[in-house]
Amino acid sequence: MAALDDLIAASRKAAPGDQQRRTAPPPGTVIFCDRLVRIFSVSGVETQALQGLDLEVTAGELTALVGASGSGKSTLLNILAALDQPTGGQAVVAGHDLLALGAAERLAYRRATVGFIWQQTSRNLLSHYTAAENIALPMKLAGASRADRRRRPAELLELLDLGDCAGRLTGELSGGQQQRVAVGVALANQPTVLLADEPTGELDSDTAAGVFAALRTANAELGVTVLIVTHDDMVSEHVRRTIAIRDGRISTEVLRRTQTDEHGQEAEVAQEYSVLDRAGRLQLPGEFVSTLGLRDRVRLALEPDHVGVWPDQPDPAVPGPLGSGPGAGTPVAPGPAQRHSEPGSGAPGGQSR
Amino acid sequence: MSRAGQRWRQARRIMTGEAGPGLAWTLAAVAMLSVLIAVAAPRELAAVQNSALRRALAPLPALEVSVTAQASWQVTKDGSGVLLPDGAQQLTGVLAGQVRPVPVAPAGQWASVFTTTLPIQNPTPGAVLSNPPTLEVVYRSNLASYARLVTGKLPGAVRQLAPRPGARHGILLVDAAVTPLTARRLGLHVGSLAKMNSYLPGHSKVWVRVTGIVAPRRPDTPFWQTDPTVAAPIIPLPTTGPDAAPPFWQSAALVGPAEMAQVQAAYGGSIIHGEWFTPLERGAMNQATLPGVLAHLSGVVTGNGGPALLQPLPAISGVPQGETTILTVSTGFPAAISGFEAQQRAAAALETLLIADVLLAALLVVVTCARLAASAYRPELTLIRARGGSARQVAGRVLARSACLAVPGAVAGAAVAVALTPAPPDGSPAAWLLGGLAAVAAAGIPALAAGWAHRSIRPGGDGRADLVTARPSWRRLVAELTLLIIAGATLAAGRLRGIGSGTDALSQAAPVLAAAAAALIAARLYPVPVRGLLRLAAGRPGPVGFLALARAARARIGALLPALTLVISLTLAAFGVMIVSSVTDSQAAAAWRQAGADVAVQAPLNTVVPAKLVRAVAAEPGVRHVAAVYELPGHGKVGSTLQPGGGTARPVGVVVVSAASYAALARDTPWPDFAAAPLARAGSTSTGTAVPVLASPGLGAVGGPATLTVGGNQLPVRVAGRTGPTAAMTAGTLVVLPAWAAARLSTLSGPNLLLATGSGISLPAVRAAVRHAMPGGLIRSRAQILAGLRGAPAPRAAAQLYWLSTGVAALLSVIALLFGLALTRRSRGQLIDQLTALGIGSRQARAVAVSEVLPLLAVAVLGTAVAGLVLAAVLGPALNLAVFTGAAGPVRVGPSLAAALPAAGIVVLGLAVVSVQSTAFLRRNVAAMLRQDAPG
Repeated sequence: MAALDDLIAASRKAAPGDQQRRTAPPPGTVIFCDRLVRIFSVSGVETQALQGLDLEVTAGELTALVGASGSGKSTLLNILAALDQPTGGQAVVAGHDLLALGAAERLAYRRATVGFIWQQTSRNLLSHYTAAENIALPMKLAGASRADRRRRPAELLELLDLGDCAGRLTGELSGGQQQRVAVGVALANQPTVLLADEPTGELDSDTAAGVFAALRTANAELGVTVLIVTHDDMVSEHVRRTIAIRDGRISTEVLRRTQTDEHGQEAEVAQEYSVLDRAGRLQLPGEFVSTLGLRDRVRLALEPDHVGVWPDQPDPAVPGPLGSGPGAGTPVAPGPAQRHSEPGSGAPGGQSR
Repeated sequence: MSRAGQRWRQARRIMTGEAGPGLAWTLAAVAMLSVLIAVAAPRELAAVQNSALRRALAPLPALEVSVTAQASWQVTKDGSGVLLPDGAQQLTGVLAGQVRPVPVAPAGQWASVFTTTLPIQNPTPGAVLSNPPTLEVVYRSNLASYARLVTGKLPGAVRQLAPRPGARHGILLVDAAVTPLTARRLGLHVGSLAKMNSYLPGHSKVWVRVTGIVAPRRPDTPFWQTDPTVAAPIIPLPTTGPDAAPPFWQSAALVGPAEMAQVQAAYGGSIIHGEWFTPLERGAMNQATLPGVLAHLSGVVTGNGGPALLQPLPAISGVPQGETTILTVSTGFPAAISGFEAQQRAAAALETLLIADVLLAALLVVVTCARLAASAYRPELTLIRARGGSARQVAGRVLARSACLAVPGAVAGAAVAVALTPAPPDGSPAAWLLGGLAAVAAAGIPALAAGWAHRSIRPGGDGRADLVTARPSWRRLVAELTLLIIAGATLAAGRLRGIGSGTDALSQAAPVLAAAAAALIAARLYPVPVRGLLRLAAGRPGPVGFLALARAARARIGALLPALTLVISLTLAAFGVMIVSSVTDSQAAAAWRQAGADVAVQAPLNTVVPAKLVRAVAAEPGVRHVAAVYELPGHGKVGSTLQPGGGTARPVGVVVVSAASYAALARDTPWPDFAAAPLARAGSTSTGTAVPVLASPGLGAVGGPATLTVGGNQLPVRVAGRTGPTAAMTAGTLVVLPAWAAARLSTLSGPNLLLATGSGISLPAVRAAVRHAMPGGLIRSRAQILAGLRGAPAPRAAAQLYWLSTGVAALLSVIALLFGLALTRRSRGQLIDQLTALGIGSRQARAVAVSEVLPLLAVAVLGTAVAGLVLAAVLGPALNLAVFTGAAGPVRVGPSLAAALPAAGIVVLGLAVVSVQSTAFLRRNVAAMLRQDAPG
């Protein structure tokens, strides 16, 4: 409970109204989360869905968000869609501070700034509406003109290769078509950000590819920033940035870039990074922790260009491979630059401080 | 898709949304039902009350449903002051104008002018009693429509005959008609002359010549009944006693309009009487206007009516102002209707109470339906909210939908109401107002419910309350406490002031408030015993009991609204049944009190019931027991007292019975505890021995001596036992004396009352036997008295409305139950799916599923029981039910088995529905359902 209190206290420091402590999003950032906390209770059971999450997504990015069930992905997405409210911290999307929005501003935000796609097609579309009518619905709610409501759905359906489905009812569309129409619905009001919560979760791989292609199209051709929560490897492996969320925090990121070797051959290179939060906390990947048997506390050593992490073992013969610089594997005598670090008691997986 | 197809799809989309047609039909049906109740209830109330009024008015004599004005004036010697037929008719219009706006029956109006009676100078000998007959000359308008000419012709001529030589005055020869009875009694025929002297010296003599014999065309009309002399001669009373006058026939002859002026002139110096009759139009009267009618008639009688009539009379008649000696305007209508009005007032208060509460229950059903709709629309509306719809847009969307459904439903409901209930005379604006409000409620409440449920982006908070910002809410507790206080205060006020004494809305809502409070208490209390049972079930083998009780104990009354609606409607049904059964029981008791037995024959004064009558009645089919008794009321002319030894004498009624036969008869009556044994003859019966008697409680000590005094004669008695009211004497303090000892009191005569019990006793046969064996005997039949009490217009109408309200309340209960079950259907299905997946047997799964509805049913039964008992105990005595039974004291409203039937029916229906539902759940694909139910 003490940990929870600390967390709440930390998040409160950045609570709305405490403007001096609020961090301004870096230029070009469309999604900016700083120490985002969401704690709720379901039937009396306390759940810490987000535990001080930091996230930055720049405009035009296509990003995947992965993580185990219950890690906080969907909670984050709901907060970003203004469908849920964080307990504390900071969340800014396209310049809208989500903790400071009033009811009317949140409504306007949902109408104009974000589009959302759920996993279940039944949650995305109204079954008694045609594809075009489903797309026109958010426009109507936002007060778009009749002409726009006729033009825009047709354009979007063409873009998504669904031009012949405009007059079909939801039940007359395949699962993949329904999800692509859902992409169209989410794009109806020309949002800045498109949020998709496992959009391919109920689809076979071929169909999922079509839906993912639609999201890529939206990203590439309309310039919409896309954030996809997914378990689908096909999705996560085909985006430039994959963010892993664990226990309510960003744990690692995989960045993919195209490299050209000396023979002029282009290759996709993926590199995994651990994420350092604004408080300096670092989550070690689980396999690293288990491989080295890290537990309770670790030894740190500050090197000129890296930090070495060793198990807290008296035998110095066991080198710590985590330090990848020149000092890796070499015991460092305790000195001013050395620290003993104890993982958080409640956090599995070797959280270091 | 064709254009028509597109339009139909669009219309269907608006009406059904994602929820499907079932809910749409339900919404339309609820709108129809609520409008039907709202429109039909006031119309039916008005119709039943008007029907009761018509039944009450129908047997009233026409004379009582009318306004009559009477004036007397003196015609001067010179003939001025004569009222001409046109003037008389004109005054008829003046009176009718005064009576209006009370509806008047113009066809029955008439004016009458008649003279003082004068003796006939040349009577036929047969017409002379002690004195010669007298004749009054009467003009009455509209004679032709009220009389049929039997022979001769109607009067139409008048001649002034010159004085005979030597006579000082002439003779006025007037044509007139008489009725056959008058003609026969006075020995008159067409052409006869009835000669009368002048009223005052110096005037013409009046000779009436019979030109025609007319028979009354409608003898029961006031035309003939107002002055019975006109129809047939009478002998004026009294003819015996200190004020007796010698008997003579008093008769009348009818003249035509042509004779009217001369007749008045001929009677110069005498008083001429005028009468104007205005019948009220019974068919045009209704319960709504009756108070206004009575108030206006009162004003006419005591205020403006007389002067208004008096004012034009001099101008019309020429009688100088002030010469009119008497003028009265009277009506027997208020007195004739007063008994009915008192009953109707009491009945109307209760009827309004029940109808108002049924309307409130119907409103709650609409609210419950709205909740059901909000629940069914939730996925669709949540999506719309997530897509940028505002709460107002959500409400507007639902409003459009519910209006599309409610308007046709409301129109259908109103049409059915109009078809089922008679049109009220005033068009019943209240019915249309209520119907309009019901339609608005049916359309608007679902929209409000949806808007409220989606006021936040996460409907219902989706159970993920923020731990930091969450604050404990006292709202429900405060609301419940407030409701309890209001309900308590309303009940207390109702008890103190009486229900129906005022028209305040709060007292009308007392039953609903009591039921709501009881429902809340039951909802709070029911988990307590369930948790106790849960502890017991935890130690027993088998999962069903424990699982069922655990769910019942932990289930929140999420569906509190259906439970509330259910308790309110069930309480109304139970309350209605309690009132009706109490009134019915009370009427039965009143009939027993008035009759004493199934048939009672009271002997005429100073007459003894003959043994042959006892035998004859006993031999009638259906008669089980017969007892001839002597009864002497305690406060009659013959004083009877009982003085316990050493105590003071108290007046008592005396009943003398033959113990064995009377005890057998008493067992058939509601007073069966008649102890015959103590009255048995024991040992010596000499004059000095104390006779065993039964006495009312408080009259001496049992076993103690006392002295019974009847008409001055004393008899030593011993109080051998107690008796309460008994068949022979149903009220007051009394002493029962054995018949074998009656001879010792010479002031006691033989039996004067014959009592008989049995079923299907033929009253005509008893009547015949009485006529034969004891002429003049007064027969009281319990069945007839009961039929009279129950058949009285106001109680009959009230009973009719109570049953109707009870039926509607029961119907609303069923609907509330079905809505409650519909609201929990999904969770029940999930439960069965989960249990089936876990491998539980279908019978066990069904049993656990039944536990889902236990909270609802438990709250319904507990709440109804509490509310019913509270209403009976607190409100019962405040209801003025005595008017329906003629009872002196208040009618006790108590719980009855019949009152529990609606609640029992609901429990059975609830369990049956859940059982059928569970069977359907068990047949579906569990894996698919579990996947579908999984959170997204």
